Amino acid sequence: MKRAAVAAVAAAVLLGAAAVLWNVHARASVTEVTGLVGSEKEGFFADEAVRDRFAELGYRVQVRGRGSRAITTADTGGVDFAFPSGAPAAEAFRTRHGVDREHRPFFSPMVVLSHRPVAEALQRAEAAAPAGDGTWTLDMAAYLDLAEDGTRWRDLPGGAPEGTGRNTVLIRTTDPRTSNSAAMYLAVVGYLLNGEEVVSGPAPGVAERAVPLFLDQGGPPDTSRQPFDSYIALGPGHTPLLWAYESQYVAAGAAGELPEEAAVLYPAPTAVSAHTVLPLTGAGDEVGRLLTEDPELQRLAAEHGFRTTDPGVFADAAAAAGLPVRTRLDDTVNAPGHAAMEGLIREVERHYAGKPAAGTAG
Amino acid sequence: MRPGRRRARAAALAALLAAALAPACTPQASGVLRVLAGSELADMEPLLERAEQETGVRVEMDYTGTLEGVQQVVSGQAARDYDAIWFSSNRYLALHPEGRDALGEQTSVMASPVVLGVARSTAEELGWTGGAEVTWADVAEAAAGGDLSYGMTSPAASNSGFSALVGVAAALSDAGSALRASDVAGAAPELERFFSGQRLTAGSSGWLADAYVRRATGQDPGPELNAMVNYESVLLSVERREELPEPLAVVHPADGAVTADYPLTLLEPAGAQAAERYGALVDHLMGEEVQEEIGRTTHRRPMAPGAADPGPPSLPELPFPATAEVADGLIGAYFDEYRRPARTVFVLDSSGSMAGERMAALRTAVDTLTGGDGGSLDGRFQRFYHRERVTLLPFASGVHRARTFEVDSGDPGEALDGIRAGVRALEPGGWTAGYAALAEAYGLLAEEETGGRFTSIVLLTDGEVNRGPGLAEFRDGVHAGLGGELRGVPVFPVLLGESDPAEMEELAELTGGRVFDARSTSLDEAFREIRGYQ
Repeated sequence: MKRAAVAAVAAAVLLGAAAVLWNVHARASVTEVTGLVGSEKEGFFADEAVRDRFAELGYRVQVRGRGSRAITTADTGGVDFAFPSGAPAAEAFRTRHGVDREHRPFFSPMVVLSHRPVAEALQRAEAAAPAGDGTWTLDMAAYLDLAEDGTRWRDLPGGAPEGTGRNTVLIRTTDPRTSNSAAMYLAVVGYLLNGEEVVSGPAPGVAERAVPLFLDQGGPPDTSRQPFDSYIALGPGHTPLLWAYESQYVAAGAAGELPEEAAVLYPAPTAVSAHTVLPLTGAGDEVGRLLTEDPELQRLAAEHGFRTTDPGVFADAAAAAGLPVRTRLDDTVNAPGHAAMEGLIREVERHYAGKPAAGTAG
Repeated sequence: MRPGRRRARAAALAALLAAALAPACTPQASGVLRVLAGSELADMEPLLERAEQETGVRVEMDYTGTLEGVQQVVSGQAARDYDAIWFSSNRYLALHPEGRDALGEQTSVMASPVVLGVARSTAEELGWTGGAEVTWADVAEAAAGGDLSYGMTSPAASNSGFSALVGVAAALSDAGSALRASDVAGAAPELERFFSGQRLTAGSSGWLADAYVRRATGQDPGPELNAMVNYESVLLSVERREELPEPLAVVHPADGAVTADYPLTLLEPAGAQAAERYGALVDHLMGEEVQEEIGRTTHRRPMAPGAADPGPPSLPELPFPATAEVADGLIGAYFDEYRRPARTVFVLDSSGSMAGERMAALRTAVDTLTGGDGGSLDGRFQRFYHRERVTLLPFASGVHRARTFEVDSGDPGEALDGIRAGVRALEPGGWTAGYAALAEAYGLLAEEETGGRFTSIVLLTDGEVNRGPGLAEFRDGVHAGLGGELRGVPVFPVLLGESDPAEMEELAELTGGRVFDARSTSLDEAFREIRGYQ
């Protein structure tokens, strides 16, 4: 009995010690989580305040930036969650990896970033107008007319804004094959070219007219961050019009990085991109839940320009940064479903590869 | 917010936290990042040393030519040996599906447009100073009128030459958007006028800039140039070189330029460690202070906002082709149609020591140049060009009979077959009368009209010259007596086997050439690399 009692005490002591150790370890230990995220969200995850908040919640989140559509085919070894933008990209990832859960913590409407003299030139051409709240409205149908006619900046009434002269009026986008941002552009122009209806099936006539809007830009960049960096650093001559996430504009504005004469144009119509977390592990799922539910992470997301479930949080963040934004988005279109979108993109891809479109001779 | 702009307070806090946990973990990002880089990025080494001190990430750069790098990425070799690539642009690479798929995260660290530098007196004569508006068409006009002799790198070897070709083609065809094959075809006469002014070609933008300076100062016997197409950053560094007899005026054509944006790019599939090191390095490089230093020390435009103050002029970005087909068609037409044709003499050692493997290597190398290595991207244009005149001049104890071929644009096959057969017929034996053969090569060139061609001599020897005149006799007895145009014909010695590197270096310097080392690579690679200089 005595020995048993000693053993029991010893066991209890050991257990106690183990418990203390376990407790210490648990508090110090941090779950490492790796995500594949659309490049427009890298800045959010790199923010120390975001990292600190995740640390408080017990996570260390590492991210690898990719084009949202490239995320679908990227290597997922060691990856806990994917975080692409846009419903079509999310749908593609879900299907390919058999993911059945998702979180939609943030949203971003697409905008066109420009420079005041460029916006004014478009205004003289009756394709853009100031909205009274410091933002501009870009009439996408009028823009399409200019672009499809191959209008040069120098041909606009009142002449070309400095540095833009010889180039055609054309919005710079990312690569629709790899990036969601460009796919959203395709959604909007596809809607207009389809007689103001969302493309829902094979639409060779729409694709044929949409293809030059991409190919005429030349070799496109892969992610939404690259052309954005060029827009900020290299002036209106380099990038007069850029298709971007509103969040990129707000985040850069809050950090005081926008060009002096930056102008934000809300396309009419525009598309709203949902940023979707697709978990591959339990930890990835938990990160998705925290991004959606943790008020502090939601507040930080708004600081980075993302709209969250509470519109007031975004409006406050933009106001704090002194940035004009469109508070109400009235004129938006839905992206086509995954299959219809893939059909359009495949058509663009064929032309990039220098091959004739399917169904045409030779 | 961009990663470079994290809050200092939070960073300090994180550092404290890291210190508290120190026994449990080492600095997260420390370690080596292996990078395959364009040779022009060697000037980033001091900044990378500082990055190592501050981030713990040691960057190991291996340098290569831009298009050779593209080939390594496309073939998958780069992903096996490196974590990341860093070239002046990924645009040509991204035109190829295999290239695009290999690219992971990319960050443009800095930028530099490809523009024109003109000797100040020439710029004044042409009325191009004082903020005058100059277009690429004006440059073509001056070139065709004989007022402009410029150097430009080979578009098949170097990104600055390729960017210039694309930009000039877009500007001269007045394409408002991405170039199409029809734009290029329509602008052919204008492009020929533009390239009639090109009098020097090179495989790298750095060598080109050095050659420009050497010619301007008379160190290099080649004809003096009065302009150079190069990165704005290279032109700004040359502009300030004290030894230049007159400064360069940097001309930013009003119709725009193609801009290199130096994307530091993680290769797929990157491991988590490499990704972390990459992240730490990029954060450091994009910080405002480092960006300012990049602007100050390399003259490239910083990409972080506010770091360039006052900013250089914003240039329209000339459209880049959207397909590989158009880009490759343009490069092919440049060599075969637009630029001045090449005149090349191959002085080939067929002494006894060349027997066996070395002769086989020579045959392989010549097969590549005559067949064009269509399977590799860089090899596609490292070949004999249409309109090129090629002489094979073998030597051993004495100088053998020369055979000359001209590659006809309509039927290139005949000359190419002849060149291949000529090399196959070489029978090694005897000693090495290298300088006697070289003197004969200049003699051959003296008998013909070489003006207007890119003329050069390739000297392949696999051992010390041990018959006939030596280098001193060649220098004083032959080279010193050459007429102006011939004196400017460079010799490109190729090191093989037991050749004397120091002597070949001296020969290259004497003639304004460059030594290529086939001992460390292969004869095939050396011959292909020389193409960039011919």
